[in-house]
Amino acid sequence: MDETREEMIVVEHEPNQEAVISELPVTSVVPLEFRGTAGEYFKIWIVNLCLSIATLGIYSAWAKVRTKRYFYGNTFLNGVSFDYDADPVKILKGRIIIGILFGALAISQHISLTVYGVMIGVFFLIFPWFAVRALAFNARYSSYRNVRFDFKGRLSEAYKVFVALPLAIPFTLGLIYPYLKKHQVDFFMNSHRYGVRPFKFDADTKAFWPIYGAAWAMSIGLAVVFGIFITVIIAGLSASGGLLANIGDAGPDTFAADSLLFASIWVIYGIMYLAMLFIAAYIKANVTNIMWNNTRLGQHGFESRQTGSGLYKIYLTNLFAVVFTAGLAMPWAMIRLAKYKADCLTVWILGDLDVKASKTQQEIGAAGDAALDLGDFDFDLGL
Amino acid sequence: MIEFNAQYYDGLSSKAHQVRVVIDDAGILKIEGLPEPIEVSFKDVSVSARLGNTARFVKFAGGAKCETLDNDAVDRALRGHAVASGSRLVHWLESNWGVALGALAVTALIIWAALEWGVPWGARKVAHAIPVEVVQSLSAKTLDYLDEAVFEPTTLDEETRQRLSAGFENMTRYRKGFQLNLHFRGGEKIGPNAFALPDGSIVVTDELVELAANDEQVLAVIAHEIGHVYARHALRSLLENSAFGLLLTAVTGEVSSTVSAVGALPAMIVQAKYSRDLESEADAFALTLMNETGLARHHFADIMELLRDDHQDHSDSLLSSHPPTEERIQRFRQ
Repeated sequence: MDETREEMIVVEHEPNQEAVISELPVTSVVPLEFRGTAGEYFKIWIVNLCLSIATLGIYSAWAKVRTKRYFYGNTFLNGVSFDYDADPVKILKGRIIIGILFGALAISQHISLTVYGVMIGVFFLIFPWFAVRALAFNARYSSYRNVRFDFKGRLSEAYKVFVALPLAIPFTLGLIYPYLKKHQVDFFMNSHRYGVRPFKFDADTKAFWPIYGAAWAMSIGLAVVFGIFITVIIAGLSASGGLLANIGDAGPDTFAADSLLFASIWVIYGIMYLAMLFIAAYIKANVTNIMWNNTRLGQHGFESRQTGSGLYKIYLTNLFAVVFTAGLAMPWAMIRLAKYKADCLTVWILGDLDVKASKTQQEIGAAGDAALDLGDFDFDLGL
Repeated sequence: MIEFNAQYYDGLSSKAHQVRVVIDDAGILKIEGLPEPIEVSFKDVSVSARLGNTARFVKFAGGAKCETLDNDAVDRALRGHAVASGSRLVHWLESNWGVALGALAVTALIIWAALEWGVPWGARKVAHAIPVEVVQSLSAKTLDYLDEAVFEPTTLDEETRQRLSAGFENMTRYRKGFQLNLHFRGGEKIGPNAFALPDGSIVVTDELVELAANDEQVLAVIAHEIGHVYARHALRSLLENSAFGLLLTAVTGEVSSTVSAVGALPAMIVQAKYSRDLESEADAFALTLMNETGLARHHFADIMELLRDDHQDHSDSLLSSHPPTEERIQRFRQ
């Protein structure tokens, strides 16, 4: 953030229940506010699930719209929420296409490994096209104060960040990853618009090195610790005359030792997974921070305060809750994650947030998006 | 007359206007508080479907929008003027704890029914719809691979092999469809066992022949394996297990590593159950085939007992791929 901002009068803005539009002071520090509740969302979630299953998945497109509307509609900036108004039919079309493609992939696996390998290659190569479509669809049907977002990412750049650079990962032993990440975030942020105003992300690859350096160090440490662990366990179990002592000699006597061995393997696997989850949370939180802290929208700025441990706590408790409730805690988990993300994000609004709508918006409003119809499918890529 | 506060956005910029929306009894909607007041027929606007207590949008032709948190007022207006707005039914379903718990029960029931009946039924139909030639071609190379990785050449003498082959010919003479072939292999790595490959190859290990007290017992095991081939179990198993993964993805709505990690144990339990069902089916087939061929059914029970005493028996657990051995023995002793 530049010096001029520090000189301005900065006022902490309390989250209001009603929109306060006309009386914004000079610069507001406006936290994002998430008001969704697990109780309310559980009912929406279970009805979504039930109807989706009962309709063999067709309702799932409508379910997705209702879910997004619930989360957008409960996210408030300055007392005003976001809106999502995509047409579920378009989402359904996209889902059917993806379903057919993945079905073909699954079947090819059993026909011949060559066909399967070729199909995986093809998928890898066409992924950027789907990614651009999905991001554009999502952006265009999201709006704030009746101004739609937009995504103007070019296919060529999508290829660079989703195909070309990732292919270099094995050749550089992973060292290219921070560079790749910077370019992916760059592509993502700089291609998005709010109305006519573009988002501007500006940070060097240098900013990403500490994150991946730390993650790499943690992974090495993890590998070492578990290497020791496993050696100790195997030594112990061999001594007790179990499976490893005489492979192929399985019989009633070795049953107890064998069971212990398998149980230990499961436990080790579980602990390793939980440890890797922390590393993933650490990376995610810090990359998110870099992304928002170095992004501006016109004269407005953002501040993200996620922490690896904060995010990990959410992931971990969510995981155990969902597992021990056979999935019923899923809505609660989703609400918690959304709340954490919103709580950690603040928008620094300089003046007022007055942005013009783009031409695309007028096309959507007027002709019912005839101009966009051909590529207007939503592809759930988890982006 | 219905009134509520709202923000008005003209759709050309994000500038907001605090307004008051008034809908009179004649169905005319007025927006007060704008530099130029707006008046339209309520029937000419579209209202977003209600979703919990999230903001409600009244959308005008031309892209302008009114946003309000007063959902109840909007609902009253919609009812009063019989204007459609998305699905009131869905919102009602989503606001009702009784409905939610009912939906939970229905969902659980459907998932259970799908796993218990739906998936096996579907897998059976699909597997049997595929032509025999295609099924046989699916595993043509498997025996070669197993020969490289697991088996050794058989050490049984010629006479034993001829006797067993003759018995095998006898059993399979009247059965049409699959081309069945009997193979003998040394199975030091796996002990006494028999396999059926989808392409009709039946493999019997020397150890099984040595363990058996007579030819009839070996043929009994072979009958069971033939059952696997005719009932297309390999293909059905493949389809059933894939379906479970698909179901998990569809229900959770996402393809993440967490879902597959957490779903691993339920997947194993479900797959083991499917496996036990198929093994039971193969047992039933063996029973029929043995009757047809004139083999006394107790031979199957006898060899089961010999095998049980030879291995450790874990067949009573949730994760066991075969039904409990006692049960299987009983069936063939009746």
